[in-house]
Amino acid sequence: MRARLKLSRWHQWITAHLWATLALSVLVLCAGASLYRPRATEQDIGALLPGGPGSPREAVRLLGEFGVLNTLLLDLEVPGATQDQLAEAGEKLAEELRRSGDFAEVQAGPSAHDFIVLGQVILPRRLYLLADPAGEIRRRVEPARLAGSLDALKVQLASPQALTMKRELLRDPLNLNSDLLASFARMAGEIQPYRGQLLSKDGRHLLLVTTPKRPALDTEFSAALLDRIRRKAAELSPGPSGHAVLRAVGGPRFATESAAGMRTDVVITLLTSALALMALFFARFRGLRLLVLASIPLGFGMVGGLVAVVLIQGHIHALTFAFGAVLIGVGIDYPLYLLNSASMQRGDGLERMGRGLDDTWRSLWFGFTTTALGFCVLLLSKFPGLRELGLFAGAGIATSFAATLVLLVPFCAKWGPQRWRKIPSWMPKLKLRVLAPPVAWGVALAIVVAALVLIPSLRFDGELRNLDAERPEVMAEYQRVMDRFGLSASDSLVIARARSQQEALAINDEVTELLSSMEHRGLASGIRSIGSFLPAVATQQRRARSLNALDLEQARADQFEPTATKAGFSPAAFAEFWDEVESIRQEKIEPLKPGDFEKTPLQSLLTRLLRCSADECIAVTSFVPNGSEAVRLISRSLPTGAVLLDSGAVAAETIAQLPRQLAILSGVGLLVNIVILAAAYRSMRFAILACLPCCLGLLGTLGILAAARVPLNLVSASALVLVLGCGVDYGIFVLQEVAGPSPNTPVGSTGVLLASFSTLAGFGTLVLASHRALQSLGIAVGIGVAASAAASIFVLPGLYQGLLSRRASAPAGAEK
Amino acid sequence: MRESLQRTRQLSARFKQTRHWAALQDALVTQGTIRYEKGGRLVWRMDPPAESEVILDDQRATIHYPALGTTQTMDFAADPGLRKVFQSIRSVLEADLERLQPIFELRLDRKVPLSLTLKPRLPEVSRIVERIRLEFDKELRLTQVRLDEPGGDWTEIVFHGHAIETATR
Repeated sequence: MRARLKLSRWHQWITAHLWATLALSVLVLCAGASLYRPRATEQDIGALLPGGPGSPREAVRLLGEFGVLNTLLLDLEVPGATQDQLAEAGEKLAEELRRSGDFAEVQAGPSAHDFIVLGQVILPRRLYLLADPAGEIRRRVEPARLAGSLDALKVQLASPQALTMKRELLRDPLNLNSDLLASFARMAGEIQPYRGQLLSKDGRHLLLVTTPKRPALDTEFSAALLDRIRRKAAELSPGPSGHAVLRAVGGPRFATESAAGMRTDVVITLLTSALALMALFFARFRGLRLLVLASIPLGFGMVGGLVAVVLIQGHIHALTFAFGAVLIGVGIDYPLYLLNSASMQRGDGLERMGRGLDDTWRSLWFGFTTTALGFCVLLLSKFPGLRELGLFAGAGIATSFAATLVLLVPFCAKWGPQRWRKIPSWMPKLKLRVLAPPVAWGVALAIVVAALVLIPSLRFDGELRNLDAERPEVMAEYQRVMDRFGLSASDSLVIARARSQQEALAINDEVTELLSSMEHRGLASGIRSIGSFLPAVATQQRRARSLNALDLEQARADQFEPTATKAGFSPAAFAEFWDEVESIRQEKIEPLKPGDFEKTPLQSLLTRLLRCSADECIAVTSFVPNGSEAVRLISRSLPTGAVLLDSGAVAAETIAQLPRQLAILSGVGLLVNIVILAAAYRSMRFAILACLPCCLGLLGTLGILAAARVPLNLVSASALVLVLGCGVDYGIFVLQEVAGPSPNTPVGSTGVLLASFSTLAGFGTLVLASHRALQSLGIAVGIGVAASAAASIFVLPGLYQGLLSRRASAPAGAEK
Repeated sequence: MRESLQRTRQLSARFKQTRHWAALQDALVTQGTIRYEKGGRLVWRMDPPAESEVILDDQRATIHYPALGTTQTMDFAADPGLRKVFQSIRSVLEADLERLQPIFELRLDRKVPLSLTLKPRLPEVSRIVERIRLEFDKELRLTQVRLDEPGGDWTEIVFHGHAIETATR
């Protein structure tokens, strides 16, 4: 009780220096809040996951880079325009966008010059790009196929431009070039390159692939950019059949609309929360003055959490700030419990508050210690996101609790109501609904059994995209643009990792071969690999040597020349082609190297697919797997040094670890709580009893979600920690009342009622949000808090009575 | 000749092209239609089996092979050398002396019926064609073109069935 006496002296001092304390409090709050700066706020979701090479964080980052996160696709339609007019409009638009300074990159199609430059780099070394050049030549000199190729060649030789391209045409009797170029084109989808632009299959739409200067998650920039694009679209010249249409789809659009939805959600839920809290305070205290005073500890909690995280880590994740701020909202339970008790006391302001604090001192400390420990256990997690959340919520709840104890008593004594309202008569009447001991034990058992039966059917949805706001029309527009240009978003990547660029490329070549064989088996599609235009030097040399298996003289004399002669070509017509084959076989022609692509249109793809740091190099191949079984099979078959990153697998294997982690950490937290309460109550049974409402609340929540077929997700699973945190408090508050000297006073049960209503006012209103993350948080916490409060108020007294009747008397420790 | 060309608004004719190339054992003979509008585009369409269509204008050449299902576009803005070569081909097929003069030296071989020989002034053109001979009929319609290449290969194009639309004075 020494601490309580010391605190009383502080209260007297603060009461005497109230304005100075208030000024100091405001100063401290402002200083702490100033640490919140956009630059110190992390927005990358991957930052919440474990890092390092091959880690989930790297997986999320790479998947983000190769997906649509930071890419904005612009689809231009000029109704009634010819392809030429469309290409001209696209060229003008691309130029204007480049000049605007809003974009890091605006990609149109390759120009004729680009094709010529690329041809000069690749075509002399095209045999290096064939997985099996000897086999390919053997297949292509078969008489029927060769005759077809030579007929096509003659058609080209008859054209006027053959005058300028004769030599190139005669160097390709096996039609290797067009197949090679077609394989590159396939990597870009079903896009038709036309006059340096990318047109859709029907030639009516034009695609510009842009990368804005700032990340998509910089929603302020993204929103302003989209606005500028809308204005630009309005200025476009109309086509013969109508106004030009410019559609912008992709990550920045998703992020902007999601943020706008989130802002609306925040306004709606804050307003409804504020209204609900005002209604609660008005119903209980007949005024709102205490609501303002009770919010002061909350403000300190927010700032305390922020200061702790920013000082220790140097930055805070936006999600932690948002979610953690909600978590420490539980901090209003302590002021409410204290004020409810104070309202039933006698005396002047400070005396009344002091007595209220005396009455609730022990419960408040038990409640705070157990909740804070629950959050601190999160610090043991291997997920940086959960550790950060634990730190924020732990520090926040501690600061909030300290402010409740130190500031709330003198502030309420001075600025609280002159006449305190007693507890409204309907609230104590709830105690009449308390279940009889046998019924209470029966209900508790029924909840446990029902939960155990239902929980195995509970699903976990690890897909992060499902946490976003549901905007089917935006998704549908995005999908239409993707379909129009035959594009596929890369959900799966294979990362080949090695010390040097060439080693990484060599592993990547093995990966490409494996994926090609999987494509033939129908297990993969949409392969985009650097290996298709830049195999490792070792691979190219191996392919060149493999030509030794081909009897060139025989293939030429026995198969090629008879067919060529029959087609009307003279014996020397294709000498340059056979010289090229011989030169490659003797490795006289330099293999392709990354530097060769510097000025070609493939350079930007190369930069994305091959990258080196001081420690290692990675080569990336993207593809679309055909189902989860294909993902597993491909993953198992990969060569050493290559790993498969699949967004579904990352969700399943990484995000899905979160519920397990949370279950373990919650279990540890619960055990720690039981141990602490057992020591405080000097009774293990009473400790377990105090924790039972939260366990019943948690099991009830999981059971209801399972029965309603509502899957848990990253956010709602994390929110279950809050159910435990609140539920333990409710159990302690009610047990304090029923085991105390005046078990019939309504202070404890009404305190729980008020605390649960306030939590529901804060969280339950999130159900109104359009953002699915907030919605799921509202559902999970709403059910959990309501169930825990109901278990505390209606079931716990019965359970206690049941124990009491068996033991005749309560242990001294549980009594005040 | 100049007057005749100036009056021509639109021209179409049938052609027969014969390539005498070392790479081919026999001459490669193709037939088709040529059509152009003054100041507009030139369309060079070959009949099956070697079916193809080449559309030339000031900016680009678009080549379509129906049998192969492919269309190729060459943008001259990206390659000035290519522009000169195709401009030459177009000017020869249109017998547009005004445009040919900066690219070729013109030599009058015969006045009636008119016969001209063109020798390239520009290296990028002379690498491809060494000499071009143009033959006209009495009405100054282009009837024959012979293109001689540096390696000895040559191509002959014979025009007939001219349909000319002229501007009225």
